[in-house]
Amino acid sequence: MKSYLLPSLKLTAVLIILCTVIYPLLIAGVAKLAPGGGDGITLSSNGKVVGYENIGQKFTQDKYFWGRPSAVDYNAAASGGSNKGPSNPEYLAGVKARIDTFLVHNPTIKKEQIPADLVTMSGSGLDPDISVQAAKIQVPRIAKVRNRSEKEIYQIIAQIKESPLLGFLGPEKVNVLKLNIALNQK
Amino acid sequence: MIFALGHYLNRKRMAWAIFGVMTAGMLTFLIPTMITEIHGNPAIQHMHINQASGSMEGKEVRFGVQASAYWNILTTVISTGSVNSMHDSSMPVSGAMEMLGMMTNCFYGGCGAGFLNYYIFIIIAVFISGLMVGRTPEFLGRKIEAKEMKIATIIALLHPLLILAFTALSSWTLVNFPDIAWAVKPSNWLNNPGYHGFSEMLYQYASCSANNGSGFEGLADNNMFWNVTAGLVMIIGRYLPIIGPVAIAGILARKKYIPESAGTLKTDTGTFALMTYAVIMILAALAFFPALALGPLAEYFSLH
Repeated sequence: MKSYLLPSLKLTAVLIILCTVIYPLLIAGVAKLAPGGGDGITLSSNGKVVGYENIGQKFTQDKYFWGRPSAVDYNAAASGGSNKGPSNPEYLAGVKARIDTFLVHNPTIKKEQIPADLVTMSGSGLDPDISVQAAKIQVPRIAKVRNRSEKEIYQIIAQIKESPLLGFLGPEKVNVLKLNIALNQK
Repeated sequence: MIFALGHYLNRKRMAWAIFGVMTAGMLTFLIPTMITEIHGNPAIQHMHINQASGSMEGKEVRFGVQASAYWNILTTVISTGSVNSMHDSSMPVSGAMEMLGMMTNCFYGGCGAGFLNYYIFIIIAVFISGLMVGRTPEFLGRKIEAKEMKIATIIALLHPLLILAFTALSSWTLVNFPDIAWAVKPSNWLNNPGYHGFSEMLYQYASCSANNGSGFEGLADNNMFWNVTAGLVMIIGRYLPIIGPVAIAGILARKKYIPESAGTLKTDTGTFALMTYAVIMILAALAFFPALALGPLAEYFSLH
C-alpha cells in the first residue's frame, strides 16, 4: 500500500506545482513577449481610445463600413453565434432579410456581388474583420454619403487590408474598426 | 503517446503503423469536411449571393472556412473540446464527420482517451485477423483469449450503447412530453427544427462520452435533464474505458511470453494496420450509421 501511496502523493505535488505555478507563469511570459504585452491591443482615433483591435463593434450608419451580422449584437460580455443549422427555415429567412436590407442601403450593388460573410453571423458574434470583397461593395454607398471619390476609399481598403499569414494561411481580411477610423481621419 | 509506447516496447515500427492508421482515420474525416465547407451552403446558393468564401455562418473571417474545417475535425478527433467556429452551423456532412471523430474516439489520443480505445480495437483486430488466417491471435507475444476479448468487446460496445441509448431517451422525452413542467420545457430544447435538432442531441451525448466537451451549442443543455443524463454518460463513458484496457493489460502481463515464430501474426505490418483501420471504421460506422442517417444524412439530402 505504502509503495503505491507515496509515489502518487509525490506525483500529485509535482503536478500541482507544474500545472498551477510553472505553466501559468510560462504562458504569462510568452504573452509579455507578444505584441501588446499580453493586453488587448487598443485602437485610437484623434487621441481617444475607441476600441479593441480584435473585438468587433457595431456600425449601422451608412457613412461607415459595416461589420458582419452578430447573434449577440456585438455584446462583448456575451460572445456567441447563432447556432442555426444550415437547413433551418428561420435561419434562411434571416439571411434573406439581411440580403434585402443590404440591397436597400446599397442600390448600386447586385445580389451576386454580396459575399457570404456579410450576411451570415460570425461564430463569436464579435468578428472584427470582413473580407476584402465585403469592404469593396460598400464603397459606392460610403463615397456617396461622404461626398468623396470612390478611388480614395478603395485606397484606404488597400492600405488596411491584411495579407494571410506567411502568404497562404487564411483569407485576406480587413479590420472594420481600422477602416472606419481611417475614413474619419482623412 | 504512441511514440513513447514504441520507445518503451522497443517496437518503433509498430508505433509508426499505429500513427499511420490514426492519420488515415483523421484524413477520412477531414477531407469530406473541407470539401463541403468550401462549397458552402446550397440553400444560400439559391439566394444567388457570392459564396466564394464558403459556408461562413458561425465562422470568423480571420480563420476562413479552411482553418475552421480543419480545427472542427482535429478538435473532435483528439477530444480537446475547444472550437474556433460554431459546429452547430456547420454543413450536414461536416456535422457527421465531427460526430464520427468522437464516435470512433480512438485517434491520436488528446486527453489520454485516444490510445486506450485504440488498444481495444487492436485487440479486436488481432483476434479477428488471427481467426481469418488461422493463426493464434497474439499481441506483444501474449495470447489473446476469450476473457480479454470479452472485456474488449464490452468496452467497444459501451460507447455506442451510451450515446445511442441516451439520445433515444432524450428523443423519447421530447416527443412524448414536450410540455412537461420543467424549468426548460423539452419543446424548447432545440434551436433547430427537424433533422438538425436530432443531430444536436446526438452530438451532445457523443461529446460527453468521448471526452470532448464541444457541442452543437444550440441545444439548451444547462438544465436538470441534460445535466443529469450527460453527467451519467460522462462518468460511465469515461471511467469504464480506462478500467477495461488496464484489466486486459494486467491479464496479458501474467501470461507466459511466447517468442515470435513463423506462426506469429505480425502487428507492425501494413496489412495489420489496414485491418485495424477497417475494424475501427466498420464498428463505428455500423454502430452509428442508423443514427447518423436520421440526423446529418437526412439533412444533407433535404438540402440538396
